[in-house]
Amino acid sequence: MMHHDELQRTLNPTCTGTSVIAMQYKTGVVVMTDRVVSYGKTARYKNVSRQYKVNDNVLVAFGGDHADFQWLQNVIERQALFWKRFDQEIGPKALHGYLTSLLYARRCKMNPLWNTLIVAGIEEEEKNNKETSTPFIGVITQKGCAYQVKHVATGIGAMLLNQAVEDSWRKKGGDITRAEAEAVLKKALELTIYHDCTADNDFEIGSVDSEDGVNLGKEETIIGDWSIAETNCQYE
Amino acid sequence: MFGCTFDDQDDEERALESCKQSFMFEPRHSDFVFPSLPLGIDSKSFVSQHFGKDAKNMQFRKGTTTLAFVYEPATENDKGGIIIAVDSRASSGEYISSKSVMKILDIGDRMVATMAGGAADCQFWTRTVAKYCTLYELREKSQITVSAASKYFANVLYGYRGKGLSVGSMVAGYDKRGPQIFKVDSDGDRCQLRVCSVGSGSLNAYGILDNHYKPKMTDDEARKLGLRAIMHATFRDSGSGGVCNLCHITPTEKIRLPPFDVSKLYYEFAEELGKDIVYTPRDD
Amino acid sequence: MACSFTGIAKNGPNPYSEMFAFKAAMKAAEAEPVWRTSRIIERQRWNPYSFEGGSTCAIAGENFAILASDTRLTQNDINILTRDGEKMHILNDSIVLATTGFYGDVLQLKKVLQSRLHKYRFDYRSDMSVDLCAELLSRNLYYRRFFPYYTGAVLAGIDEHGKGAVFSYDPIGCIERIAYSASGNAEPMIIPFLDCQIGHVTLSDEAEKPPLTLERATSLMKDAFRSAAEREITTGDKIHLIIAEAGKPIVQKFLPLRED
Repeated sequence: MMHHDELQRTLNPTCTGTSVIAMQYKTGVVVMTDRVVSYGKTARYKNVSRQYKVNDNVLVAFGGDHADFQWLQNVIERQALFWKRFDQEIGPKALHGYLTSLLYARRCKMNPLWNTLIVAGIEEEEKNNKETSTPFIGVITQKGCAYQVKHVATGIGAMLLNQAVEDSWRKKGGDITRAEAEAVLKKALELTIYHDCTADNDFEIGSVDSEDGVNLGKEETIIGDWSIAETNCQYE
Repeated sequence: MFGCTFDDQDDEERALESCKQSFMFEPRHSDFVFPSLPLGIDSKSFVSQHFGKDAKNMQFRKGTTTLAFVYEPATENDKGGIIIAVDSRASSGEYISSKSVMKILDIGDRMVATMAGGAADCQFWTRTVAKYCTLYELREKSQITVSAASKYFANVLYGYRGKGLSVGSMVAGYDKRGPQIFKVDSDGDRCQLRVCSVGSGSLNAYGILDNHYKPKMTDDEARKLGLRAIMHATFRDSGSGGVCNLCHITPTEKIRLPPFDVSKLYYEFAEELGKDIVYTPRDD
Repeated sequence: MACSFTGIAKNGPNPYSEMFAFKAAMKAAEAEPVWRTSRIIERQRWNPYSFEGGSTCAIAGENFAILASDTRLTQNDINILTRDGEKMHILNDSIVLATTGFYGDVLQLKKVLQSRLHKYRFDYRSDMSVDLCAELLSRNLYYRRFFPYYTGAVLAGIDEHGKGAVFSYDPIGCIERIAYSASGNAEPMIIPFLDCQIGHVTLSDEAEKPPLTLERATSLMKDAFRSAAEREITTGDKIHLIIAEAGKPIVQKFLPLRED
């Protein structure tokens, strides 16, 4: 039966999404992804959302293989329904733990899910009590290495943006408003479109707020400032 | 017992019954399997790829000199028996990850196994053998022979042959047939020897051992010989070092001696030989 | 599971089912000898491990055990994933597990130990002691002998006699109880320092040897990590310090470290 497994594994992802950038603010989390799925360096599918709303408290965003993520959406939905059977809403922490185990199990089969996942949401200590709920961002890498953060950039953004996002986070001392957080993310996207050839200027910012719940963002576009190109031509 | 009801009592008796069922008879072949790699990926090459020589960190601990020999008492005051001497270094790659490993592992009251090769492999499987011996003694109400214990050990290792285990062990002890040493290794080989050394420094140890070994020795001579062989091995083999642990199994007891620092031993032996340690080049 | 090595399984395997399984496996292998193709070879080369760097260290004293780790997680040794990763896990009131290596394995190992400890609490109505947990960890590491955990573990705590205990392991569960231990990228830097300061291996017999108090151990630990952070790229950001003292609750502290 071994040879049948053989054909299934993703070791060379085909259609991929690039960086995900997420950040906590006072009462929630904002997550930004661009809206393109690339096939190598080709921008293969435009207008694709890379975020998935699990319920009113949890949002999952991904980088990496798109097919694997679509499969994961089914798995997550099933898990959320499973919790519903017991009249529970799955929280971000629980989902983060579940996905960690899933990704780790798959890597142990040498059959990894080629995704970097960001689980963002509001972790409720008590049900419907806004006072005790806290924002949550959890990261899971492809091999099942998982950790919690206050702000994150994955993919090429891990190299490019992590420090930029961290700096602006620290400047505010963590006490950041939603508008400010969104401004930071937009600035970060600007940086990715300058340097990441698979990034797109077409993006969306999803948010999870303790008041409003999950809002999948609207499609937005950013042009950026390309005037630097004039002075940076080395190809005459 | 706390919280004990009559039902619990029944349960306990039933448990005891099933214990007897499974422990009082010759053990059957186990169906336990180690979790392993999927797809028939060869674990030996996989492990050596990620944890082997070229691995940056996380190498397994190994490297050793161990020796054991049987001798007969030279005078009436001596006890005779077996001397087991080992060094205490465990290295992972070039890094000495421990300098105080106890490489003489107990198997029951009268038997020990030495540890050479992969440290974890030896520790784990020696424990398995020790368990087998204990159960054997409970079941048969007589002491297991060194021969039987080592044979079990060899059979277990043979079952894992080719999987990349690295074990070179000497099972030594005193039983109804007298003092015995069996060398067992991860290829499943097992042979009885009277003078034996295993490990990366074994050749150095053999050099001393073969030179000075006599079938009849006093206890003091024998212990010194063990120390001397280990000391010289540690000085010529970079995989060995630390302290020398010594165990003396006599017809009546097992004596573990306190560790000897090989660095200090060097000077002691040098003095004994009248060797000048501080070498001054001639000035001409 | 554990008892079956020596062959004491309650129900031995059915020899017929084993034979059938073997026959089926042989057939599958003969029908399509897949593991010769170049695709498979490429697949097998996929590295299931990554290394998130960092270091941990533990010192045992007369009535205390102190552990420290940095909190940096790195990717490919270079890129910092997060500055507050947790490398130490408090398993119960007297046991702390500190691990470096592949963080996925670290999490799995932690989960395995936690569940075993939980079951122990359930079965015996008391917390497991550190000696037992040390053996448990050793065996659990060895069970994965043929697909090892990529972890350098250090287990520390207070034993049944109220003494500090530190156990050091290699990736496949070679166990040793020692006075101080470290694991991770900065191990070759921290251990010589502790050899000098706690083991006193470089001192002559006449030299004064200060006793190891909790204060001294704590400051040595800080020194060890500060100097490691100076010279080792994957160690930095914060020192996470855990102090377990006999008869007292476990104390945790965070101290700043170089962030470059």
